Amino acid sequence: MGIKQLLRWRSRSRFDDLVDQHHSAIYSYACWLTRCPARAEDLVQEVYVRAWKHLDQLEKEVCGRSWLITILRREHLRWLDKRSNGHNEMALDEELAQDERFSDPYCADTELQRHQLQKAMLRLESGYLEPLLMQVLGGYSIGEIAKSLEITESAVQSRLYRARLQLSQTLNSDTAITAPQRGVI
Amino acid sequence: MNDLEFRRRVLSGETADQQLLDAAAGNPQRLRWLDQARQLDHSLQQATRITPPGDLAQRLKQGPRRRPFVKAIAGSAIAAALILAVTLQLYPRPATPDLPQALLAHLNHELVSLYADGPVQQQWVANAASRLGYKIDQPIPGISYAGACDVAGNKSLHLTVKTANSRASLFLMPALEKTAVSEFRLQKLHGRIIPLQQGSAAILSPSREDLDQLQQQIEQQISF
Repeated sequence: MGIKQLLRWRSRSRFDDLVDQHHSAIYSYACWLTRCPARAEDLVQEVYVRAWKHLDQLEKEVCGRSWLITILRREHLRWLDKRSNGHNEMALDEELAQDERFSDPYCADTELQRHQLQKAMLRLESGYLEPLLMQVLGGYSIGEIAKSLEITESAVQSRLYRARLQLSQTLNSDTAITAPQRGVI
Repeated sequence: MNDLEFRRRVLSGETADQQLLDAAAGNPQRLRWLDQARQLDHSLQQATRITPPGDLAQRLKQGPRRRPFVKAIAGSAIAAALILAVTLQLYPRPATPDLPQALLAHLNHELVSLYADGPVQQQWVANAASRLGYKIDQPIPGISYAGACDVAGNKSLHLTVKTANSRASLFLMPALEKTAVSEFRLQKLHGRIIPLQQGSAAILSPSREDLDQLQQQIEQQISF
């Protein structure tokens, strides 16, 4: 086996690990960002194609998920930009023309509580939802979220608190953790 | 750390922080808050996870080493056709046991469809319909959600349409043959299954008037 083949094989192995370990979380994140399973699937494909092209930029495997989420957010913003500029139709159509995939991405359990929580999450403002997704799905620390969103750690903490408070109240108003008095945060 | 600060930090997800754990030690009220926050986090872990399509990982792995486009398409098409032909011969498709229940279950799984607010590109809808053999002659107004789904084993185009009364769910299922219109009532939803020239359509809505309106739109605006 030549050096080139060896390197390629190593890259392939790293890439496959990235898919196996993170594709489920990346897909979930994409679903919440786009709110459209079909678009989420396309987005995840774009993310992994880009990841493959720039695999040498991933220095540590342990950072794989946050690296993929960064690509995901960037690709999503790019798509939103194109759409707002009216350039999206053609590019997306070309991709969709090759798309022969049909599946139900929401095949998880149907517990009432889970549904209530999902409904409540859909109602969260994006400013609250995204830090929560980063923390819950991405495993980011508050400091990492602050860096990614370019806001202060205190602001992140506040958004996470408010998001959880809303969700907690929606989920079960009887047992929800009560809100601190006004002016504390 | 006072109680308010404690609660604020607990609800920002720092439930494993050593400083918080120390602050909760020996304080039943704080331990209860900590426990509630952990339970909420557990529920959040469950709720945020959305199961990806079963073959997505495999497709992602194949993606970067694609063969040239024409070869790939030709190869895949031939392979798919062969597999499909053999499968159809060996395993005739069973009739859908209870379509209304399956539709309702699908809506429950895909709750996002009822709350999504679009915008949905008409071109995407037209392309997705076209892949199922349908042609949308005039755009259907008020689509707030569109997805390519599998309902009880039937490939379908799933649309949510905002109507004057509520939101109606529309499924176009090319492989599901029905011979007569049937209506059903499930929970608070009215439903109707309509045979089409190719396959069937199903409409579900809290308002029965929506069924008539959408049926009319399907018959007038979609061809095969």
